[in-house]
Amino acid sequence: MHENPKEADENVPAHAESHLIDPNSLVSRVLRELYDSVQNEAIPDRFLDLLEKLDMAESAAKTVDSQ
Amino acid sequence: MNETSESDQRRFKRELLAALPNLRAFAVSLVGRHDRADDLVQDTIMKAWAKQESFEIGTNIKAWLIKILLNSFYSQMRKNGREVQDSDGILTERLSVHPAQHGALDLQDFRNALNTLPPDQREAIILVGASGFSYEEAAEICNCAVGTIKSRVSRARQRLQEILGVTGEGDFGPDAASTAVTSRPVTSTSF
Repeated sequence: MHENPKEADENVPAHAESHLIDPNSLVSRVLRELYDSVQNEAIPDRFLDLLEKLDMAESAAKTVDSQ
Repeated sequence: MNETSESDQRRFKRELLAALPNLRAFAVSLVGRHDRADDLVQDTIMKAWAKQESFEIGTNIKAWLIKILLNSFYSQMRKNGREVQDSDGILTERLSVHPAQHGALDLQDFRNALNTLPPDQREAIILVGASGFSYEEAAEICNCAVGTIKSRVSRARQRLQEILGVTGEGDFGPDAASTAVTSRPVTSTSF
């Protein structure tokens, strides 16, 4: 009886808030679809280049420091 | 002696890279446009890099980055007086003639609708509804009370449903919309 999933659900406080944004609602699903579509894109080169430059600049600065 | 800081930097860079797709997704959802979102992301990367010492390794870098991004976002908005929107009546015109068809919501319509929300509501619903943060985490990121986040999310959801012509939950079964998302478990990955 204690395994009744419905009852268990009702006892979890977090579920009390689930009406705020139901993860299965259309709005939630489309929002996640939008989000995921961007998240699944490859990281644009401009950011990879930028990180590379920042990294190199820092390493160069350190080399100068230690000399 | 530089050994440790070198590897810290490397680790930071790796974590930053791994978090970038998520940061971009947040930015594009928030801003509504790729070009402006990517400018924000670039700005965030530079700021994050400059203050990487203040990041505690092992804590949630996604939340940390989003905080930095939001700071830039809001300070840009203050500078510009108001948000630069895709101009004029185009949105409203499109919105009013596009009630949602059953189970099929055009992504572009959704984006437009999202863009009409006040930024604080947008931010809240994206953090909780898509980024997978809890209300508590979202409140921490936005620097406001949990109750405030909840009411923003709730208002955002209601407004979106109105604009898109979708009524309450349960109108559409899980299989009504054939989106890739439906087959995925509810995202609550907090990494």
